[in-house]
Amino acid sequence: MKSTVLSENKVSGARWLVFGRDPEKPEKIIDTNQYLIATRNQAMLLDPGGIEIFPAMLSAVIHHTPLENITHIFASHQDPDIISSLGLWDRTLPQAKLHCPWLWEGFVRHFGCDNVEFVPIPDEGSTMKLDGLTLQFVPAHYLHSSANFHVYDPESKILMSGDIGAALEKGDVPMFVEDFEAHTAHMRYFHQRWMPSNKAKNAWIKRVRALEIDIMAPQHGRLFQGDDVVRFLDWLEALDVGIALDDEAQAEAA
Amino acid sequence: MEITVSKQKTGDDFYVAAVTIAATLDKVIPVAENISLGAMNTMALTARAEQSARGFRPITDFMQELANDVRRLTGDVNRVALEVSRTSLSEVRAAQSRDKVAEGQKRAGKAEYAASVRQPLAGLEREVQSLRDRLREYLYTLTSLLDEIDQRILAAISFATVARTEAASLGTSGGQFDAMAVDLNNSAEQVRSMVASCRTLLRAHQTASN
Ligand SMILES: [Fe+2]
Ligand SMILES: [Fe+2]
Repeated sequence: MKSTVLSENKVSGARWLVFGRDPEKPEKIIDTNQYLIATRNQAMLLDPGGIEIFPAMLSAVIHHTPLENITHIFASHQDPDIISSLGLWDRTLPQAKLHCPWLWEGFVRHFGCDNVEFVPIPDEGSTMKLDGLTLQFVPAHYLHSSANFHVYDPESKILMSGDIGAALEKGDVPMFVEDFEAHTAHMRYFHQRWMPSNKAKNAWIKRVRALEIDIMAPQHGRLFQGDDVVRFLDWLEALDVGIALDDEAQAEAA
Repeated sequence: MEITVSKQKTGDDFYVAAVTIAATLDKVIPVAENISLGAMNTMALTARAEQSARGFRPITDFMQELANDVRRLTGDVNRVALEVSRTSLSEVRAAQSRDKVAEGQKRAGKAEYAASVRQPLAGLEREVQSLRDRLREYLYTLTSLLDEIDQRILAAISFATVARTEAASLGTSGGQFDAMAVDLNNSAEQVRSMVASCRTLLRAHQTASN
């Protein structure tokens, strides 16, 4: 599994890393990006992924931080590609806290959560501290999951955006978007089909436009940097989502 | 340094076998009810036949006791089988976790913080071993319970033989007693075959996991 340093703050020591593009991943499993934020003495795994990629993820992580430093795990929502590895992390990081939307507690616990402490994130979002670094859990409900959060780091100006900004591309693609227009072809269907609500989408765009973002880091596919972040927000704003309902309406009318 | 993990085969699908055993032995309950009913009928017959059938009193007492024992032992088997199932599942899950962590460690090679995996891995190994020990204890209890049922059943079969001899000594009036004794024998054989199939299932898994 590849790991790339996204940012490194020389003063605070905070680092963002992305893990993914595992060449040994079983073919039919959707490729995912996992993130790690490490400060001097602590670290948090963001959407650590499914059971299948756990060994690769564990082996990648210990190149960058000792396990005992990983005191926090974040799960943006309840999907298996996000957090079905929980039962394994639960045994590997028994001292860790899991930050997860409150709505999913009873569901996510089915993955196994005997040692890790479940910290519910309220609907309005919250903040947490990793050493001296304050991180924000930004609400992204119904995008696509009905209780869903993104993580914003105002110091590094990185927004981990979960399934928003996801692209379905095959193979070992570059870490960052290089040609935004071309990239939209890989994102369109995903957003139209997985995201259910234009209202939720527009509320999120409004919220996110108020943040200063250098890197937008989705859970699938390439990351966005610089002007591509605003390009993405504009593109998403113009996109109609929830298309399965349109198809249904058309079928009914026919 | 890598922690060496035990390569011994795990409890596999004991969790399925154990619940199958519990389900099989559940079918013993109506047989026990039948024995109990037989005991009551025989008691009524004994009362009517008075002196000539007094040899049947201890037999009816035995049948009643047997029915109660079988019911109680079946309940115990059920409880222990559930523990076997739970423990086996936990053991399988712990062993899988341990293997995945060990795989991660192996893949990491000489990663800077590879040593930090040692402690959780050792913990998982201990957990697997202790679950395996507990599983072994539950399996031993389960086997002992099946043995106990078997002992009762063997006694029932010899009681049935004695009862048939008693019935024959009653001459023509012994027909109904003989039918009861045959019934007891059949019930006992039914239980015996159910216990035997449970034992076969258990043994198949025990050899697979050794
Ligand atoms: Fe998802
Ligand atoms: Fe996803």
